[in-house]
Amino acid sequence: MKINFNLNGNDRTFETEPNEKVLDFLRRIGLKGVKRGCETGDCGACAIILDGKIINSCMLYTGQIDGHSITTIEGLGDNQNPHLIQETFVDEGAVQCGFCTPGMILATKALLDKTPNPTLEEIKNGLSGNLCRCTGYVKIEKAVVESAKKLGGKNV
Amino acid sequence: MKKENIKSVGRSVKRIDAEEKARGTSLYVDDIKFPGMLYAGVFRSPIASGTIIKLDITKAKKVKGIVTILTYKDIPGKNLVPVVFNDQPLLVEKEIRYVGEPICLIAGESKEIIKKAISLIELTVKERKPVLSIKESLKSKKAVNPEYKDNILQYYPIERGKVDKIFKKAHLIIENEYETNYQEHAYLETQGMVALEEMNGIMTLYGSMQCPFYVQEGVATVLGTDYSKVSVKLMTTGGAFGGKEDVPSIIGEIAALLSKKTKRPIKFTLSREEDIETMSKRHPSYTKYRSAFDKDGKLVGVDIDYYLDGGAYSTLSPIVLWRGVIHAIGPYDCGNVRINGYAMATNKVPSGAYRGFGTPQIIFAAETQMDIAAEKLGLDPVKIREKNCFKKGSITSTGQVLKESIGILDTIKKGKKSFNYSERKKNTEKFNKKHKNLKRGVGVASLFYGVGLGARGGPLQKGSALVSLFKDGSVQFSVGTTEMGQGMYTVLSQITAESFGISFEKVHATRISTEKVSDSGPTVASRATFISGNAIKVAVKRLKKNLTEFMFKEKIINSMKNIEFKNNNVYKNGKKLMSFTELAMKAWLGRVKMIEASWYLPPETTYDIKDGQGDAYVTYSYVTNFVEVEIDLRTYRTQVIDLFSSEEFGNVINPQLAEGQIEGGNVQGIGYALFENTVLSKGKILTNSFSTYTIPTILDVGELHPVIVEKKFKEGPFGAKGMGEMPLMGIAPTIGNAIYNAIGTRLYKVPFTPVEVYEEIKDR
Repeated sequence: MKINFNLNGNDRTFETEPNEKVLDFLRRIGLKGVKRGCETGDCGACAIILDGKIINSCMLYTGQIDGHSITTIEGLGDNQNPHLIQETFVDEGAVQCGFCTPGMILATKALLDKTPNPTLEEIKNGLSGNLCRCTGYVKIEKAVVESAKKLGGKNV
Repeated sequence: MKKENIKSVGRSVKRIDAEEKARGTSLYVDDIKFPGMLYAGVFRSPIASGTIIKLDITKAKKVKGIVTILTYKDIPGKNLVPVVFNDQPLLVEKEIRYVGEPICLIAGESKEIIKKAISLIELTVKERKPVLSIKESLKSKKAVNPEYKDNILQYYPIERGKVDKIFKKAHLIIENEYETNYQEHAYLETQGMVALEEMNGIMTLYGSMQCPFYVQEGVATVLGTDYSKVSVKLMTTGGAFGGKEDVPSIIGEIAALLSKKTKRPIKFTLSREEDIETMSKRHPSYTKYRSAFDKDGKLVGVDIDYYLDGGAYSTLSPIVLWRGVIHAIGPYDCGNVRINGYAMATNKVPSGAYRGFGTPQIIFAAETQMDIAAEKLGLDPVKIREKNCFKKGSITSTGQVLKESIGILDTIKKGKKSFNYSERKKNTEKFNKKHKNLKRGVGVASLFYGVGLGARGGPLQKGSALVSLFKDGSVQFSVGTTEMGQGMYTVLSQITAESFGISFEKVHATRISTEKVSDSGPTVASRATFISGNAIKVAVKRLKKNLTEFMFKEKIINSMKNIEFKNNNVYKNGKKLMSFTELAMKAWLGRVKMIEASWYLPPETTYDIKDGQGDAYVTYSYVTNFVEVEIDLRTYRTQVIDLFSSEEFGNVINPQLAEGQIEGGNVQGIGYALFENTVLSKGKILTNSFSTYTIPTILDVGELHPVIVEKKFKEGPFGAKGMGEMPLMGIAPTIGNAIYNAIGTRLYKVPFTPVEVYEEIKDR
């Protein structure tokens, strides 16, 4: 079947099998920043932004993104410059093994787009679907706080 | 420019691999693909113990897209996963010893096709009653493995002083039994390897691991080929925590066997379910612990029986157990010690390495005992630790005299102050008077930990490095230890830069590979900074010598004394000669040797395996944790409020990375203490996903406050020791002691799930 959707800002058309998971599909077309952590919707490593909301791509079939808009980690920043949230994660030491990082950064983006000045509780809730086994979350939380400050309430 | 002072060590430089990881472009094993690549799968045992009567793969072989199915008969070399005792076959020949044990290997065009083939393999077995716990293993007349008739995979004793005599006259004796469950590493990236024959017929593996040399040995063993025909290269590794120490050999052997047979590249990655069910994990434990104190609160005698559940094969149990035994009494000087440590065989997946390596289990017992003693003696829990802890000249349970860099008392004092111990204790008491259903408490626990492999590391106690200087003055290096997320590339780049006196930005770490450096053991035991850092220092020293000799030969200097490399320049008698870049170019033109492969051997240890006496490790790191918790008496759920982990691990190379290790380790410790709970049925792990085996989320961790104490260790690179594992190790007893402080219920079983807390309260 053919699906049409907006991928990282561009309207695209792809041929897919109806039973193909979005995680597998995105990795098949080369978006390897979408990570396979559990395939049961528990870890958030494969998270993408679907119409502004953070969602685990292992829990979606390709048919479900037809006509929608999605952002993957590859859609943040450009070839020369990383997005401010990406930069802030690096500066704050929020990256260790890096496997949860794309999902964490996208969860942060989805949160700050909707809630530009989040409380700590809102940050924790916003990131509660993303598991990290390395950092203990302290520096990730700090990176979100700092990103919000730097963005100054603007959506980027 | 005069005041310029280039420093790399001691600064929180940015991780060199963070930006590519934040962009999502860093390549992990599952992200690579080769033309014609096939996928791999494994047909595994559904039972815990039995004999294979018949195995029929004919139907499975006919599935379209299946390229090959292998049994043990198809292994060209030895059917073996080499670790310590070499008792584990890669594939079952006849006897099945655990659920999930590999029987057949399958290569196919896709994972779905392989799944279908697996469902068509027919297995007939004669089932036996399995041995499923330490207690069953001790009682069982039937050996899990005929090589271990009494089911003891390994035994270590320590005997020191006059234990029986001291227990007869002791003022206070405390005797309890403790149990701990498995812990799953839960690295976010599951195990994986890609294998293919590259140029000149070299079987090349790309993968996620802690020891490429182990994988090389495993692959050469099953292929029956030379080590020199196997290369192992590290991909970006998505967490390991000990879980990628030995078992990647299994993954690599499987991928290489299938690649050899099919003549095509093979990718073998595990699903989360398969990873949890069949890979190593922290040993469950059972401990009988007797402690004797005099009336002043001095620990005068210890008598311990320590049992680990090793699973069906010995794998790393001999070494895990040894480490546990060495650290069993905690960071205390006690003259009368008897420890009997046993690793027991059971019909379960082999346990293995996990951050702390046999120590968190026994520290839980030791530090709970210390807390009980404090209460019975009317001493403050912090006081009793201050009184008993190591000082300069103290003697460990193996008779090792401690001489240098002993930070335990400093971690207690600095931790206590940062935690605001006395004030906080009063505040919790006030809080508890006000609240009926919420109770708060504070807890403390201390520990020490041997850095590096120690005496039982034997031939693996060595570090290797390759350092290469280019004519533009920039530097590349590689080492034998791996980057798995902890930040080794960055820390070693800092050490390289500092050793050369050049800017951090001029140094670049390259991919870890068996092709670059010689076998220098695994990336474990908190050893990478110490062992590889020192190997780098050796190489840089030689390169600087080459450059100095060249300057002398060229009459740039009239003697080789008082030469300094710093601030991107070279100085003689404090006067600048030229920039480092200029010297590099001159040296290149002058055909100076600009590459050095180096070797570092740590100081000798003297430990004797027979009586357990002697120097066990070169040095130790120290931790004291302070925690405040809150328990909800309606749900029995425990929440950490504040955790202060006060740690001494020599001098700090990178404060931000060190904090990251402390915070991350603390949270794995919180998970271990409170809710990571493996449940099995007939030897099969039921908690095989993150919805049933729950690890901490950002909502579960409370406030973490790393407290760093620096105490230089002269033999360490720039004074550093090692610190990767300690942050996890003492969290369970710290929280257990805080729960007791809050509600007066003592917990003897990890994890302290709400059910466990309820059971203890109910029985009281």
